[in-house]
Amino acid sequence: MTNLLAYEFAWGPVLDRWDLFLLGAWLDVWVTAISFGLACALGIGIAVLRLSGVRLLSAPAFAYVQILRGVPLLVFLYWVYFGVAIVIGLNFSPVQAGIVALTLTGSAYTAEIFRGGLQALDAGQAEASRSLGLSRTGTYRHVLLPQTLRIVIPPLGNVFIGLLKGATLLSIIAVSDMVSVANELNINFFTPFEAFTAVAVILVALVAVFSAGVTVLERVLRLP
Amino acid sequence: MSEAAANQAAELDLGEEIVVAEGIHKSFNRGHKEREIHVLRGVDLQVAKGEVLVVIGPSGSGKSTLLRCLNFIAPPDAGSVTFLGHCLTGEVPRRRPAERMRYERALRFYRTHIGMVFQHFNLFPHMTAADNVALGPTRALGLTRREAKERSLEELERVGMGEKAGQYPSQLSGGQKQRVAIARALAMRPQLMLFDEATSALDPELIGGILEEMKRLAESGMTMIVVTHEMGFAREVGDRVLFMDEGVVVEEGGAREVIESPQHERTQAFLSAILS
Ligand SMILES: Nc1ncnc2c1ncn2[C@@H]1O[C@H](COP(=O)(O)OP(=O)(O)OP(=O)(O)O)[C@@H](O)[C@H]1O
Ligand SMILES: [Mg+2]
Repeated sequence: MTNLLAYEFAWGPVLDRWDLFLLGAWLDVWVTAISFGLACALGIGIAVLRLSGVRLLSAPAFAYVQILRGVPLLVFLYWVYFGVAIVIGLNFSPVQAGIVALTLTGSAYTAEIFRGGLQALDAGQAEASRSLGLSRTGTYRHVLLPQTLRIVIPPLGNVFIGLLKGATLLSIIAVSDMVSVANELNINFFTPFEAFTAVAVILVALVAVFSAGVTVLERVLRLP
Repeated sequence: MSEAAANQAAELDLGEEIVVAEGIHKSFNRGHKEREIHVLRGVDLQVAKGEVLVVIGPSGSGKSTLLRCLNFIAPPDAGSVTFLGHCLTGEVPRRRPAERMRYERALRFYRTHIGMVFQHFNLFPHMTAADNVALGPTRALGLTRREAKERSLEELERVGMGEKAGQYPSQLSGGQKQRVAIARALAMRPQLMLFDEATSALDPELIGGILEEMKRLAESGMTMIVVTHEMGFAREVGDRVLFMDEGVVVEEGGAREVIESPQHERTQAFLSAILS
Protein backbone atom coordinates (compact mmCIF):
# COMPACT_ATOMS: atom_id res chain seq x y z
CA MET A 1 0.00 0.00 0.00
CA THR A 2 2.69 2.44 0.94
CA ASN A 3 4.37 1.61 -2.33
CA LEU A 4 1.32 2.66 -4.26
CA LEU A 5 1.18 6.02 -2.56
CA ALA A 6 4.89 6.46 -2.85
CA TYR A 7 4.90 6.01 -6.61
CA GLU A 8 5.59 9.19 -8.43
CA PHE A 9 3.76 9.42 -11.71
CA ALA A 10 5.97 10.40 -14.59
CA TRP A 11 3.72 11.90 -17.27
CA GLY A 12 6.53 13.94 -18.77
CA PRO A 13 7.70 11.40 -21.35
CA VAL A 14 4.14 10.81 -22.48
CA LEU A 15 3.27 14.47 -22.77
CA ASP A 16 6.52 15.16 -24.60
CA ARG A 17 5.50 12.66 -27.26
CA TRP A 18 1.85 13.59 -27.67
CA ASP A 19 2.41 14.19 -31.39
CA LEU A 20 3.78 10.65 -31.83
CA PHE A 21 0.78 9.23 -29.99
CA LEU A 22 -1.63 11.14 -32.18
CA LEU A 23 0.21 10.11 -35.33
CA GLY A 24 -0.01 6.48 -34.20
CA ALA A 25 -3.68 6.89 -33.31
CA TRP A 26 -4.36 8.34 -36.74
CA LEU A 27 -2.85 5.21 -38.30
CA ASP A 28 -5.09 3.03 -36.13
CA VAL A 29 -8.10 5.04 -37.22
CA TRP A 30 -7.56 4.87 -40.95
CA VAL A 31 -6.49 1.23 -40.92
CA THR A 32 -9.67 0.45 -38.98
CA ALA A 33 -11.80 2.57 -41.31
CA ILE A 34 -10.54 0.79 -44.41
CA SER A 35 -10.91 -2.65 -42.80
CA PHE A 36 -14.40 -1.79 -41.61
CA GLY A 37 -15.46 -0.69 -45.10
CA LEU A 38 -14.12 -3.89 -46.62
CA ALA A 39 -15.67 -5.97 -43.86
CA CYS A 40 -19.06 -4.39 -44.57
CA ALA A 41 -18.82 -5.08 -48.29
CA LEU A 42 -17.74 -8.66 -47.64
CA GLY A 43 -20.40 -9.05 -44.94
CA ILE A 44 -23.20 -7.94 -47.27
CA GLY A 45 -22.05 -10.44 -49.88
CA ILE A 46 -21.90 -13.28 -47.38
CA ALA A 47 -25.27 -12.38 -45.88
CA VAL A 48 -26.85 -12.37 -49.34
CA LEU A 49 -25.34 -15.79 -50.12
CA ARG A 50 -26.50 -17.06 -46.74
CA LEU A 51 -30.08 -16.02 -47.56
CA SER A 52 -29.99 -17.11 -51.21
CA GLY A 53 -31.95 -20.25 -50.51
CA VAL A 54 -29.43 -22.18 -52.61
CA ARG A 55 -27.64 -24.77 -50.48
CA LEU A 56 -24.49 -24.61 -52.56
CA LEU A 57 -24.14 -20.94 -51.66
CA SER A 58 -25.67 -20.70 -48.20
CA ALA A 59 -23.74 -23.61 -46.67
CA PRO A 60 -20.27 -22.17 -47.42
CA ALA A 61 -21.47 -18.76 -46.22
CA PHE A 62 -22.60 -20.32 -42.96
CA ALA A 63 -19.29 -22.16 -42.56
CA TYR A 64 -17.36 -18.94 -43.28
CA VAL A 65 -19.14 -17.11 -40.47
CA GLN A 66 -18.84 -19.98 -38.00
CA ILE A 67 -15.12 -20.42 -38.57
CA LEU A 68 -14.06 -16.79 -38.81
CA ARG A 69 -16.03 -15.83 -35.75
CA GLY A 70 -14.03 -18.33 -33.73
CA VAL A 71 -10.54 -17.48 -34.91
CA PRO A 72 -8.88 -14.77 -32.77
CA LEU A 73 -7.49 -11.67 -34.43
CA LEU A 74 -4.08 -12.52 -33.06
CA VAL A 75 -4.06 -15.77 -35.02
CA PHE A 76 -5.15 -13.97 -38.20
CA LEU A 77 -2.31 -11.49 -37.77
CA TYR A 78 0.27 -14.27 -37.52
CA TRP A 79 -1.31 -16.20 -40.36
CA VAL A 80 -1.50 -13.30 -42.74
CA TYR A 81 1.82 -11.66 -41.91
CA PHE A 82 4.09 -14.65 -41.32
CA GLY A 83 2.11 -17.67 -42.45
CA VAL A 84 1.11 -16.54 -45.92
CA ALA A 85 4.65 -15.44 -46.69
CA ILE A 86 6.00 -18.86 -45.76
CA VAL A 87 3.25 -20.95 -47.35
CA ILE A 88 2.68 -19.20 -50.66
CA GLY A 89 5.47 -16.66 -50.70
CA LEU A 90 3.13 -13.68 -50.79
CA ASN A 91 4.60 -10.86 -48.75
CA PHE A 92 2.27 -8.32 -47.14
CA SER A 93 3.54 -5.14 -45.57
CA PRO A 94 2.63 -4.95 -41.87
CA VAL A 95 -0.17 -2.46 -42.55
CA GLN A 96 -1.56 -4.55 -45.42
CA ALA A 97 -1.48 -7.66 -43.25
CA GLY A 98 -3.25 -5.75 -40.48
CA ILE A 99 -5.98 -4.61 -42.84
CA VAL A 100 -6.53 -8.13 -44.17
CA ALA A 101 -6.69 -9.60 -40.67
CA LEU A 102 -9.06 -6.93 -39.38
CA THR A 103 -11.26 -7.29 -42.47
CA LEU A 104 -11.54 -11.06 -42.07
CA THR A 105 -12.37 -10.77 -38.39
CA GLY A 106 -14.86 -7.99 -38.96
CA SER A 107 -16.59 -9.64 -41.90
CA ALA A 108 -17.84 -12.55 -39.81
CA TYR A 109 -19.62 -10.09 -37.53
CA THR A 110 -20.91 -7.77 -40.23
CA ALA A 111 -22.24 -10.78 -42.18
CA GLU A 112 -24.33 -11.81 -39.19
CA ILE A 113 -25.53 -8.27 -38.63
CA PHE A 114 -26.57 -7.79 -42.25
CA ARG A 115 -28.28 -11.18 -42.27
CA GLY A 116 -30.27 -10.21 -39.20
CA GLY A 117 -31.15 -6.85 -40.74
CA LEU A 118 -32.30 -8.39 -44.01
CA GLN A 119 -34.36 -11.01 -42.21
CA ALA A 120 -36.04 -8.36 -40.11
CA LEU A 121 -37.63 -6.89 -43.23
CA ASP A 122 -41.12 -7.91 -44.22
CA ALA A 123 -41.11 -10.48 -47.02
CA GLY A 124 -43.67 -8.27 -48.76
CA GLN A 125 -40.93 -5.74 -49.52
CA ALA A 126 -39.00 -8.09 -51.79
CA GLU A 127 -42.27 -9.36 -53.26
CA ALA A 128 -43.46 -5.88 -54.16
CA SER A 129 -40.12 -5.07 -55.73
CA ARG A 130 -39.95 -8.26 -57.77
CA SER A 131 -43.56 -7.75 -58.87
CA LEU A 132 -42.49 -4.39 -60.32
CA GLY A 133 -39.97 -6.24 -62.47
CA LEU A 134 -36.85 -5.28 -60.53
CA SER A 135 -34.06 -7.81 -60.73
CA ARG A 136 -32.68 -9.58 -57.69
CA THR A 137 -29.77 -7.14 -57.60
CA GLY A 138 -32.04 -4.15 -58.10
CA THR A 139 -34.26 -5.35 -55.29
CA TYR A 140 -31.32 -5.59 -52.91
CA ARG A 141 -29.88 -2.30 -54.01
CA HIS A 142 -32.96 -0.10 -54.06
CA VAL A 143 -35.37 -1.77 -51.67
CA LEU A 144 -33.77 -4.15 -49.17
CA LEU A 145 -30.33 -2.78 -48.37
CA PRO A 146 -31.38 0.86 -47.82
CA GLN A 147 -33.89 -0.36 -45.25
CA THR A 148 -31.42 -2.79 -43.72
CA LEU A 149 -28.80 -0.07 -43.38
CA ARG A 150 -31.02 1.89 -41.05
CA ILE A 151 -31.49 -1.15 -38.83
CA VAL A 152 -27.86 -2.19 -38.67
CA ILE A 153 -26.14 1.12 -37.94
CA PRO A 154 -26.00 0.67 -34.14
CA PRO A 155 -24.60 -2.90 -34.22
CA LEU A 156 -22.21 -1.95 -37.02
CA GLY A 157 -20.97 0.88 -34.82
CA ASN A 158 -20.06 -1.73 -32.21
CA VAL A 159 -18.12 -3.71 -34.79
CA PHE A 160 -16.19 -0.57 -35.70
CA ILE A 161 -15.30 0.03 -32.07
CA GLY A 162 -14.27 -3.62 -31.73
CA LEU A 163 -12.00 -3.34 -34.75
CA LEU A 164 -10.50 -0.09 -33.49
CA LYS A 165 -9.55 -1.79 -30.27
CA GLY A 166 -8.40 -4.82 -32.23
CA ALA A 167 -6.07 -2.55 -34.17
CA THR A 168 -4.03 -2.10 -31.00
CA LEU A 169 -2.73 -5.63 -31.61
CA LEU A 170 -1.14 -4.57 -34.87
CA SER A 171 2.05 -3.48 -33.14
CA ILE A 172 2.76 -7.20 -32.75
CA ILE A 173 3.50 -7.39 -36.47
CA ALA A 174 5.53 -4.17 -36.34
CA VAL A 175 2.87 -1.70 -37.40
CA SER A 176 3.94 1.63 -35.92
CA ASP A 177 0.70 2.69 -34.33
CA MET A 178 0.12 4.35 -30.98
CA VAL A 179 0.70 1.10 -29.09
CA SER A 180 4.17 0.84 -30.57
CA VAL A 181 4.82 4.36 -29.28
CA ALA A 182 3.67 3.26 -25.83
CA ASN A 183 5.82 0.16 -25.99
CA GLU A 184 8.89 2.18 -26.80
CA LEU A 185 8.21 4.59 -23.96
CA ASN A 186 7.76 1.70 -21.61
CA ILE A 187 11.09 0.19 -22.61
CA ASN A 188 13.02 3.45 -22.40
CA PHE A 189 11.52 4.95 -19.26
CA PHE A 190 9.83 1.97 -17.60
CA THR A 191 6.52 3.82 -17.23
CA PRO A 192 3.97 1.16 -18.31
CA PHE A 193 1.11 2.75 -16.42
CA GLU A 194 1.52 6.18 -17.96
CA ALA A 195 2.32 4.93 -21.43
CA PHE A 196 -0.71 2.68 -21.73
CA THR A 197 -3.00 5.08 -19.95
CA ALA A 198 -2.26 7.41 -22.82
CA VAL A 199 -3.43 4.70 -25.23
CA ALA A 200 -6.59 4.16 -23.20
CA VAL A 201 -7.37 7.88 -23.00
CA ILE A 202 -6.99 8.28 -26.74
CA LEU A 203 -9.21 5.28 -27.42
CA VAL A 204 -11.91 6.41 -25.02
CA ALA A 205 -11.89 9.81 -26.69
CA LEU A 206 -12.02 8.28 -30.18
CA VAL A 207 -14.91 6.02 -29.22
CA ALA A 208 -16.80 8.98 -27.74
CA VAL A 209 -16.35 11.01 -30.92
CA PHE A 210 -17.27 8.04 -33.07
CA SER A 211 -20.42 7.31 -31.07
CA ALA A 212 -21.51 10.90 -31.45
CA GLY A 213 -21.00 10.54 -35.20
CA VAL A 214 -23.14 7.40 -35.26
CA THR A 215 -25.90 9.19 -33.39
CA VAL A 216 -25.85 12.02 -35.91
CA LEU A 217 -25.88 9.55 -38.81
CA GLU A 218 -28.85 7.75 -37.29
CA ARG A 219 -30.71 11.01 -36.95
CA VAL A 220 -29.96 12.02 -40.53
CA LEU A 221 -31.16 8.68 -41.91
CA ARG A 222 -34.22 8.41 -39.68
CA LEU A 223 -37.44 8.18 -41.65
CA PRO A 224 -40.41 10.35 -40.85
CA MET B 1 -43.08 -13.78 -79.66
CA SER B 2 -41.02 -10.62 -79.27
CA GLU B 3 -41.97 -8.01 -76.70
CA ALA B 4 -43.08 -5.58 -79.37
CA ALA B 5 -45.27 -8.22 -81.01
CA ALA B 6 -46.80 -9.14 -77.69
CA ASN B 7 -47.55 -5.53 -76.95
CA GLN B 8 -49.14 -5.20 -80.34
CA ALA B 9 -51.26 -8.30 -79.89
CA ALA B 10 -52.51 -6.84 -76.65
CA GLU B 11 -53.41 -3.56 -78.24
CA LEU B 12 -55.20 -5.11 -81.17
CA ASP B 13 -57.90 -6.43 -78.85
CA LEU B 14 -58.40 -9.74 -80.57
CA GLY B 15 -60.88 -10.70 -77.92
CA GLU B 16 -58.43 -13.34 -76.90
CA GLU B 17 -57.34 -14.43 -73.49
CA ILE B 18 -54.79 -12.23 -71.79
CA VAL B 19 -53.80 -14.84 -69.31
CA VAL B 20 -54.38 -18.59 -69.22
CA ALA B 21 -53.16 -20.77 -66.36
CA GLU B 22 -53.28 -24.51 -66.78
CA GLY B 23 -52.82 -27.26 -64.24
CA ILE B 24 -51.13 -25.08 -61.62
CA HIS B 25 -49.70 -27.01 -58.68
CA LYS B 26 -47.83 -25.44 -55.83
CA SER B 27 -46.47 -26.87 -52.59
CA PHE B 28 -44.53 -25.18 -49.83
CA ASN B 29 -41.69 -26.75 -47.89
CA ARG B 30 -41.18 -29.37 -50.54
CA GLY B 31 -39.09 -32.27 -49.41
CA HIS B 32 -39.76 -31.67 -45.72
CA LYS B 33 -42.04 -34.64 -45.09
CA GLU B 34 -43.94 -33.28 -42.11
CA ARG B 35 -44.16 -29.66 -43.14
CA GLU B 36 -44.82 -30.04 -46.85
CA ILE B 37 -48.19 -28.60 -47.80
CA HIS B 38 -49.81 -28.95 -51.18
CA VAL B 39 -51.55 -25.58 -51.58
CA LEU B 40 -52.65 -25.54 -55.22
CA ARG B 41 -53.82 -28.84 -56.69
CA GLY B 42 -54.32 -28.32 -60.36
CA VAL B 43 -55.90 -24.91 -60.92
CA ASP B 44 -56.97 -23.67 -64.37
CA LEU B 45 -58.10 -20.17 -65.14
CA GLN B 46 -58.37 -17.86 -68.10
CA VAL B 47 -59.14 -14.16 -68.30
CA ALA B 48 -60.05 -12.32 -71.49
CA LYS B 49 -59.09 -8.76 -72.26
CA GLY B 50 -61.09 -6.27 -70.25
CA GLU B 51 -62.59 -8.96 -68.07
CA VAL B 52 -62.77 -8.83 -64.28
CA LEU B 53 -62.36 -12.21 -62.62
CA VAL B 54 -63.17 -12.34 -58.93
CA VAL B 55 -61.59 -15.11 -56.87
CA ILE B 56 -63.29 -16.03 -53.62
CA GLY B 57 -62.76 -18.78 -51.09
CA PRO B 58 -62.03 -19.48 -47.45
CA SER B 59 -58.80 -18.46 -45.75
CA GLY B 60 -55.95 -20.76 -46.67
CA SER B 61 -57.59 -22.03 -49.83
CA GLY B 62 -54.66 -20.75 -51.90
CA LYS B 63 -56.00 -17.53 -53.44
CA SER B 64 -52.91 -15.46 -52.72
CA THR B 65 -50.66 -18.29 -53.81
CA LEU B 66 -52.55 -18.52 -57.10
CA LEU B 67 -52.00 -14.82 -57.82
CA ARG B 68 -48.32 -15.16 -56.91
CA CYS B 69 -48.00 -18.07 -59.30
CA LEU B 70 -49.30 -15.96 -62.17
CA ASN B 71 -46.36 -13.53 -62.02
CA PHE B 72 -43.94 -16.16 -60.74
CA ILE B 73 -43.30 -14.46 -57.42
CA ALA B 74 -44.00 -17.99 -56.24
CA PRO B 75 -43.18 -20.14 -59.27
CA PRO B 76 -45.59 -23.04 -59.76
CA ASP B 77 -44.22 -26.58 -59.35
CA ALA B 78 -46.27 -27.80 -62.29
CA GLY B 79 -48.50 -26.29 -64.93
CA SER B 80 -48.02 -23.28 -67.15
CA VAL B 81 -49.02 -19.65 -67.36
CA THR B 82 -49.61 -18.17 -70.80
CA PHE B 83 -49.58 -14.40 -70.84
CA LEU B 84 -49.85 -12.29 -73.99
CA GLY B 85 -48.41 -14.99 -76.16
CA HIS B 86 -45.60 -16.09 -73.87
CA CYS B 87 -45.83 -19.43 -72.12
CA LEU B 88 -43.84 -20.10 -68.97
CA THR B 89 -43.59 -22.98 -66.55
CA GLY B 90 -41.99 -22.80 -63.13
CA GLU B 91 -39.03 -24.77 -64.38
CA VAL B 92 -35.95 -22.60 -64.84
CA PRO B 93 -33.62 -23.82 -67.59
CA ARG B 94 -30.55 -23.69 -65.37
CA ARG B 95 -28.10 -25.55 -67.54
CA ARG B 96 -28.35 -23.66 -70.84
CA PRO B 97 -27.29 -20.02 -70.53
CA ALA B 98 -29.07 -18.87 -73.68
CA GLU B 99 -32.37 -20.41 -72.63
CA ARG B 100 -31.84 -19.15 -69.13
CA MET B 101 -31.51 -15.63 -70.51
CA ARG B 102 -34.65 -16.02 -72.55
CA TYR B 103 -36.47 -17.31 -69.47
CA GLU B 104 -35.32 -14.37 -67.36
CA ARG B 105 -36.42 -11.96 -70.08
CA ALA B 106 -39.84 -13.57 -70.21
CA LEU B 107 -40.10 -13.35 -66.42
CA ARG B 108 -39.35 -9.66 -66.58
CA PHE B 109 -41.97 -9.29 -69.29
CA TYR B 110 -44.57 -10.92 -67.05
CA ARG B 111 -43.69 -8.84 -64.05
CA THR B 112 -43.49 -5.51 -65.82
CA HIS B 113 -46.83 -6.11 -67.57
CA ILE B 114 -48.70 -7.56 -64.60
CA GLY B 115 -49.48 -5.14 -61.78
CA MET B 116 -50.00 -6.38 -58.25
CA VAL B 117 -51.71 -4.76 -55.27
CA PHE B 118 -51.25 -6.33 -51.83
CA GLN B 119 -53.38 -6.60 -48.73
CA HIS B 120 -50.73 -4.85 -46.63
CA PHE B 121 -49.78 -2.33 -49.35
CA ASN B 122 -46.06 -3.22 -49.19
CA LEU B 123 -45.02 0.34 -49.92
CA PHE B 124 -41.30 1.01 -49.56
CA PRO B 125 -41.04 2.93 -46.27
CA HIS B 126 -37.76 4.64 -47.14
CA MET B 127 -39.17 6.37 -50.21
CA THR B 128 -41.71 9.12 -50.69
CA ALA B 129 -44.98 8.25 -52.40
CA ALA B 130 -43.62 9.71 -55.64
CA ASP B 131 -40.43 7.65 -55.45
CA ASN B 132 -42.42 4.50 -54.65
CA VAL B 133 -44.33 4.99 -57.86
CA ALA B 134 -41.27 5.99 -59.90
CA LEU B 135 -39.08 3.04 -58.86
CA GLY B 136 -40.49 0.47 -61.29
CA PRO B 137 -40.53 2.79 -64.30
CA THR B 138 -36.87 3.81 -63.73
CA ARG B 139 -35.42 0.48 -62.70
CA ALA B 140 -37.49 -1.97 -64.71
CA LEU B 141 -38.74 0.01 -67.70
CA GLY B 142 -35.65 2.16 -68.17
CA LEU B 143 -37.39 5.54 -68.12
CA THR B 144 -35.24 8.52 -67.24
CA ARG B 145 -35.60 9.99 -63.80
CA ARG B 146 -37.55 12.92 -65.17
CA GLU B 147 -39.94 10.81 -67.28
CA ALA B 148 -40.56 8.54 -64.31
CA LYS B 149 -41.18 11.48 -62.01
CA GLU B 150 -43.70 12.91 -64.46
CA ARG B 151 -45.46 9.60 -64.84
CA SER B 152 -45.44 9.11 -61.08
CA LEU B 153 -47.14 12.44 -60.40
CA GLU B 154 -49.64 11.74 -63.15
CA GLU B 155 -50.58 8.38 -61.63
CA LEU B 156 -50.75 9.79 -58.11
CA GLU B 157 -52.98 12.55 -59.42
CA ARG B 158 -55.26 9.95 -60.99
CA VAL B 159 -55.87 8.21 -57.65
CA GLY B 160 -56.28 11.52 -55.84
CA MET B 161 -52.89 11.43 -54.16
CA GLY B 162 -51.22 14.29 -56.05
CA GLU B 163 -50.95 16.33 -52.86
CA LYS B 164 -49.24 13.52 -51.00
CA ALA B 165 -46.45 12.92 -53.53
CA GLY B 166 -43.76 14.09 -51.12
CA GLN B 167 -45.03 12.19 -48.10
CA TYR B 168 -43.52 9.00 -46.73
CA PRO B 169 -45.77 5.93 -46.28
CA SER B 170 -45.71 6.31 -42.49
CA GLN B 171 -47.37 9.70 -42.93
CA LEU B 172 -50.31 8.26 -44.88
CA SER B 173 -53.52 6.58 -43.77
CA GLY B 174 -54.26 3.01 -44.84
CA GLY B 175 -56.56 4.14 -47.62
CA GLN B 176 -53.99 6.63 -48.87
CA LYS B 177 -51.29 3.96 -48.78
CA GLN B 178 -53.41 1.65 -50.90
CA ARG B 179 -54.05 4.42 -53.40
CA VAL B 180 -50.33 4.99 -53.72
CA ALA B 181 -49.83 1.23 -54.13
CA ILE B 182 -52.40 1.20 -56.93
CA ALA B 183 -50.66 4.15 -58.58
CA ARG B 184 -47.36 2.30 -58.25
CA ALA B 185 -48.76 -0.70 -60.09
CA LEU B 186 -50.48 1.41 -62.75
CA ALA B 187 -47.33 3.44 -63.45
CA MET B 188 -45.96 0.30 -65.12
CA ARG B 189 -48.86 0.54 -67.62
CA PRO B 190 -49.76 -3.09 -66.98
CA GLN B 191 -51.97 -5.28 -69.17
CA LEU B 192 -53.31 -7.17 -66.18
CA MET B 193 -53.87 -6.15 -62.58
CA LEU B 194 -53.91 -8.54 -59.63
CA PHE B 195 -55.59 -7.39 -56.43
CA ASP B 196 -54.99 -9.55 -53.35
CA GLU B 197 -57.57 -8.56 -50.74
CA ALA B 198 -56.77 -4.92 -51.36
CA THR B 199 -59.32 -3.71 -48.81
CA SER B 200 -58.96 -6.34 -46.07
CA ALA B 201 -56.52 -4.34 -43.97
CA LEU B 202 -58.47 -1.08 -44.18
CA ASP B 203 -60.72 0.59 -41.65
CA PRO B 204 -64.35 0.10 -42.69
CA GLU B 205 -64.87 3.73 -43.64
CA LEU B 206 -61.94 3.59 -46.08
CA ILE B 207 -62.96 0.43 -47.92
CA GLY B 208 -65.53 2.10 -50.14
CA GLY B 209 -63.05 4.56 -51.59
CA ILE B 210 -60.63 1.86 -52.67
CA LEU B 211 -63.42 -0.29 -54.13
CA GLU B 212 -64.56 2.78 -56.03
CA GLU B 213 -61.03 3.20 -57.39
CA MET B 214 -60.98 -0.43 -58.51
CA LYS B 215 -64.37 -0.07 -60.11
CA ARG B 216 -63.22 2.96 -62.08
CA LEU B 217 -60.22 0.99 -63.24
CA ALA B 218 -62.43 -1.89 -64.36
CA GLU B 219 -64.67 0.50 -66.24
CA SER B 220 -61.67 1.94 -68.02
CA GLY B 221 -61.18 -1.49 -69.56
CA MET B 222 -58.42 -2.89 -67.36
CA THR B 223 -58.19 -6.68 -67.19
CA MET B 224 -58.25 -7.65 -63.51
CA ILE B 225 -58.11 -10.63 -61.20
CA VAL B 226 -59.48 -9.63 -57.83
CA VAL B 227 -59.29 -11.68 -54.65
CA THR B 228 -61.83 -10.22 -52.26
CA HIS B 229 -64.40 -10.91 -49.58
CA GLU B 230 -66.51 -7.96 -50.74
CA MET B 231 -69.45 -9.74 -52.34
CA GLY B 232 -71.18 -6.51 -53.31
CA PHE B 233 -68.16 -5.53 -55.36
CA ALA B 234 -67.86 -9.05 -56.82
CA ARG B 235 -71.45 -9.02 -58.01
CA GLU B 236 -71.43 -5.50 -59.35
CA VAL B 237 -67.98 -5.22 -60.93
CA GLY B 238 -67.00 -8.83 -61.49
CA ASP B 239 -67.71 -10.53 -64.80
CA ARG B 240 -66.96 -14.01 -63.57
CA VAL B 241 -66.42 -15.53 -60.15
CA LEU B 242 -64.14 -18.40 -59.31
CA PHE B 243 -64.67 -20.16 -55.98
CA MET B 244 -61.64 -21.96 -54.58
CA ASP B 245 -61.38 -24.36 -51.70
CA GLU B 246 -58.42 -26.45 -50.58
CA GLY B 247 -56.40 -25.64 -53.65
CA VAL B 248 -58.93 -26.48 -56.33
CA VAL B 249 -61.52 -24.52 -58.26
CA VAL B 250 -64.83 -25.75 -56.92
CA GLU B 251 -67.15 -23.58 -58.94
CA GLU B 252 -66.83 -21.02 -61.67
CA GLY B 253 -69.32 -18.95 -63.58
CA GLY B 254 -70.93 -15.56 -64.18
CA ALA B 255 -70.53 -13.32 -61.14
CA ARG B 256 -74.23 -12.87 -60.52
CA GLU B 257 -75.09 -16.54 -61.01
CA VAL B 258 -72.40 -17.88 -58.69
CA ILE B 259 -73.11 -15.39 -55.91
CA GLU B 260 -76.89 -15.47 -56.13
CA SER B 261 -77.44 -19.11 -56.92
CA PRO B 262 -74.33 -21.16 -56.18
CA GLN B 263 -74.57 -24.72 -57.43
CA HIS B 264 -72.00 -26.43 -55.29
CA GLU B 265 -72.57 -27.22 -51.66
CA ARG B 266 -69.24 -25.80 -50.52
CA THR B 267 -69.88 -22.55 -52.37
CA GLN B 268 -73.28 -22.28 -50.74
CA ALA B 269 -71.82 -22.86 -47.29
CA PHE B 270 -69.04 -20.31 -47.86
CA LEU B 271 -71.37 -17.64 -49.21
CA SER B 272 -73.96 -18.04 -46.52
CA ALA B 273 -71.21 -17.80 -43.88
CA ILE B 274 -69.72 -14.68 -45.41
CA LEU B 275 -73.01 -12.95 -46.17
CA SER B 276 -74.58 -13.52 -42.78
N1 LIG C 1 -44.34 -18.98 -48.14
C1 LIG C 1 -45.10 -19.95 -47.58
N2 LIG C 1 -44.52 -20.96 -46.91
C2 LIG C 1 -45.25 -21.93 -46.37
N3 LIG C 1 -46.59 -22.01 -46.42
C3 LIG C 1 -47.23 -21.04 -47.08
C4 LIG C 1 -46.52 -19.95 -47.69
N4 LIG C 1 -47.43 -19.14 -48.28
C5 LIG C 1 -48.64 -19.67 -48.04
N5 LIG C 1 -48.53 -20.82 -47.33
C6 LIG C 1 -49.65 -21.68 -46.91
O1 LIG C 1 -50.41 -21.97 -48.05
C7 LIG C 1 -51.79 -22.01 -47.72
C8 LIG C 1 -52.54 -21.11 -48.65
O2 LIG C 1 -52.11 -19.79 -48.44
P1 LIG C 1 -52.72 -18.55 -49.22
O3 LIG C 1 -52.10 -17.34 -48.63
O4 LIG C 1 -52.59 -18.76 -50.67
O5 LIG C 1 -54.26 -18.62 -48.84
P2 LIG C 1 -55.40 -17.55 -49.08
O6 LIG C 1 -56.49 -18.25 -49.78
O7 LIG C 1 -54.85 -16.35 -49.72
O8 LIG C 1 -55.86 -17.21 -47.62
P3 LIG C 1 -56.29 -15.82 -46.96
O9 LIG C 1 -57.72 -15.59 -47.32
O10 LIG C 1 -56.09 -16.05 -45.50
O11 LIG C 1 -55.37 -14.77 -47.50
C9 LIG C 1 -51.91 -21.62 -46.27
O12 LIG C 1 -52.08 -22.78 -45.52
C10 LIG C 1 -50.58 -20.98 -45.95
O13 LIG C 1 -50.22 -21.24 -44.62
MG1 LIG D 1 -54.46 -14.38 -49.12
